[in-house]
Amino acid sequence: MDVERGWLAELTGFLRPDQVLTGAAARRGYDCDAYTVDRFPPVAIVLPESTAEVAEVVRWCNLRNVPFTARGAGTGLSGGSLPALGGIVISTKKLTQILEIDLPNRQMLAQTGIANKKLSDAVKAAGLHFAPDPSSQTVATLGGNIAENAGGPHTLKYGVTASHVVALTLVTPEGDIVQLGDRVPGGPGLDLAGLVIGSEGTLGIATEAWVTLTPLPNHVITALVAFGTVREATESVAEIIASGTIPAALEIMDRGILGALKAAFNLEYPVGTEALLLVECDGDTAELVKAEMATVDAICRSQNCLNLETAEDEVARQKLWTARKKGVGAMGRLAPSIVTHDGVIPRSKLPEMLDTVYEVASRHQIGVANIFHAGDGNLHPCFYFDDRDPDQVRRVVEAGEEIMRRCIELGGSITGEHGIGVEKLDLMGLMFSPADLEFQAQAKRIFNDGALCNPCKILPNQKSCVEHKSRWRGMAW
Amino acid sequence: MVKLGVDSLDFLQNAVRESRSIRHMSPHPFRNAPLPEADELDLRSYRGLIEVHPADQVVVVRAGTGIQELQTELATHGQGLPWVPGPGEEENLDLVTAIGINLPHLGMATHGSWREWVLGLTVVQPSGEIVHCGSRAVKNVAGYDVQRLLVGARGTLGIIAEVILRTCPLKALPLVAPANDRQVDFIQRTLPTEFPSIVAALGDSVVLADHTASVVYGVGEPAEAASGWVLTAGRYAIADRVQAKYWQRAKAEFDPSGKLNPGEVLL
Repeated sequence: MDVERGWLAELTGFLRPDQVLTGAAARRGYDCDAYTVDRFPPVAIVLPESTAEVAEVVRWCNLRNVPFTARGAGTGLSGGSLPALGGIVISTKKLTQILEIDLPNRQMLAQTGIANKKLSDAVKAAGLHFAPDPSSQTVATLGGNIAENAGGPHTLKYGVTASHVVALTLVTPEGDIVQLGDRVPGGPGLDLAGLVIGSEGTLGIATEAWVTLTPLPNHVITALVAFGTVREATESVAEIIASGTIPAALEIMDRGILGALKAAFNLEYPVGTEALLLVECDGDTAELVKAEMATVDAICRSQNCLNLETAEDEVARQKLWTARKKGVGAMGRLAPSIVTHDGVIPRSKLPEMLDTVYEVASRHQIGVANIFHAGDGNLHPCFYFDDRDPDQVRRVVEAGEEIMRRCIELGGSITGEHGIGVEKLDLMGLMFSPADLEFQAQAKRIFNDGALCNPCKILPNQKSCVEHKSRWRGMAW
Repeated sequence: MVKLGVDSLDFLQNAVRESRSIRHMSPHPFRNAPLPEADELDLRSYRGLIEVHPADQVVVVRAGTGIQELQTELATHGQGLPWVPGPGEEENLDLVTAIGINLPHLGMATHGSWREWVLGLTVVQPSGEIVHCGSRAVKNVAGYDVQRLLVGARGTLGIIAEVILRTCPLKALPLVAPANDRQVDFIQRTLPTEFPSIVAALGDSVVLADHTASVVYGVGEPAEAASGWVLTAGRYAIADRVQAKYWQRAKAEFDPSGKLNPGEVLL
C-alpha cells in the first residue's frame, strides 16, 4: 500500500489524478488479457493522452526500476499484455485520435488506442478500409494489432498488419521517442518498423502509426458450403489453394460450432452437415470474381458438398457470415471455459491435421470445436471445459501442447496470430534451437536490453521470470 | 584477400568462421566495390532448390540461386515469384544479392517487396554458427521477425545461406511488361501525390517511370523530394539518424567484431 501511495504521488506529478488508477478493483481489471489462465496485478494503471506522456511514464519507470506493460483493449489471447512482474500498465485507452487522413495517398495517421474498426469506418465513404480484420475488431486497438501483427479472415488475400502499417512513432524502452519506417514502403536499410510489429510490445510502445488504406472491392461474392464430412471440407480448402485461386476469405466451422450456434441462436444448417466452409471472392470486375467463385463451386461439388449457397448483395452476404461471426461467442453455451488455441500448418496438411485434433481431444476426453482461417492453414481448435476442475485443466493443457507439437512436425508454427505472450513460452524451444532463440534475443536487444519493458514475454528463460513461470504453470496445471 | 567459391553449407560455415574479414561478392552496381583486405565469398555455386511445396505456395532455396533459374523451376510447378526486374537488371541475379538490398522491382505496387516474400532464413553468423528464423508457414507470429531485419541489411548482420520464400500461382503474378536494358544510377520512390513533379523534374534522366508504384529509375542524380527514399549505386550511406543508431546497435549485437561485409554501409 505504501508503494502504491508513493507511486501515485509521483505519477500525479506529471499526470492528472484521473489518469492514474490504483486500488484493488482497478488492479483486478488489468491483471490479465483475454488469456485468463495467467493473472498478475499491476500496482497502478496509467492513462496517458499523448506520446509525450507515454514517454514521461516510461522514463519514470526507468528511474524507479519499475516494470511496465502496454495494453490496448486487452483482447489478446496469449497474455501479451499481462503485467507479468506487476509494475505499471500503460493503457492506450485515451490515445484514440485520428490525426490525419490522406486520401490521395490512401494513408491515415492515427493514435494507437483507436479501435481497428473505427479506422475503416472513418474512410468507408471514400471507398477505402484498413484491411486487417481480427474477430475482435470492434474493440481491439491498432496498437494491439501492431503488437501482435494481427490477422483476421481477410488476411488470406490482403495480408497481416505488417503489410498495412508503414511507419510508426515508438516510445523506446528507455523513454525516447523515435520515428520508424517510412510512409513510402519498400526502401533500403533495416526494416526497424517490421521488427517492432509483432514483437508483442516488448520493443517499446507504439503510440501513433501511418496505415495504408485499401480500396473496398467493387464486386464480392460470398458462399456458404455445407459438407457431410470434415475431411471433404478440408480437402476442398487444399484444392482451392492448390488451384491458384486466392479467395479473400476461406473459413471453416465444424459440428461443434454448429451445435453451439443452434443452442445459442437457434441457427439451423442442412441435415447431415458436419462442416461449413465460408468462401469469399472479391475483385475489381464481376467477371473475375464470378470466375473465381466458379472454380470454388466446381471443387466443392467434386468433394460432394451437401449444399452451396451464394450471395452478392450486402445484406444476404452478412447473413452467410453469421455463423462465422457468432460462432466463438456461441461457444459460451457449451461449457464454463473455452481455451482457443492458435497454430499453423502448411495448407496441404489441413485434412491430416484436423484428424489429429479430433483424435487428441477424444483421447484426453475434452470437447473440441473448430472455427478458423482454413485458407492460411491457421487453426483455432477451441477446447471447452470447466476450469473449476483441475483435472480438466490439466488435460486441456496437455492436449493443446500435443497439437502444437504436431503443427511443428508438419512444418508449421505454434502461432499464426495470437502471439507467444506467456502462454507459449515453453513451446518456443520446440520450434527453435537455443542458437535460434539467441539469434532472436540479439534482435530484441537492439531495442530492449533491459528487463522493464513488458518482461517475461516471447523468449523463454528470461532472468527474473523463472519463479513466475513456475507460478503460471502451477495455475495452468 | 582470398576468393572463396561456396558449394556447401559446411564450406560456407568454415569460411566465415575462419576468416577475419569477409564480404559476400556481388557485381551488382547497387552494392559496394570489394575491399582489398576482405576475403570474398562467391555464393553463386551454392544454388538450387531444396524443397518445393506448390500446394502450400512455399519454396526453400539456396541463396546463391539465380532468380531466373528459380522462376524456371517454379513454373514447372505452376508457381512463380512476383519479381519483375527493373531496367538494366541482370535477369538471373542471385537471391542473396536481391534480398540483401531489398532490391525494388516492377511488381512492387501490387505484390510488395522481398520483405513480404521471405518467410524464413538460414543464416551463418560471424562465429560460423548456423541459425534459423521464420518458418515454412505462410502465417507465423512466433518470436521476433529477424528475417525482416536481414532483408535489406546488405549482409552486414549475417550471411544468408538459404531462404524460405512465399510463391504465387502463375495466374496471380504481376502483369507488367519487361523493362529495357539501360543501366540506371538510382531508383527513387515517393508518395503518389509527389510523383508527377519528381518525374517532371528529372526530365531526360528518367529511364523508366512506374506510375502504379510511384517509382522512377534514372541516370545521373535523383530529384529532391519531400517524401520517400532513394537507392543509389555503390556504398549505402545512411542519412537518417534513427536508422544509423539502430544499425549500429544491430551491428554490435550480430557482428561485434565487424567481420561481415565491411565497408558496405556508411553509418
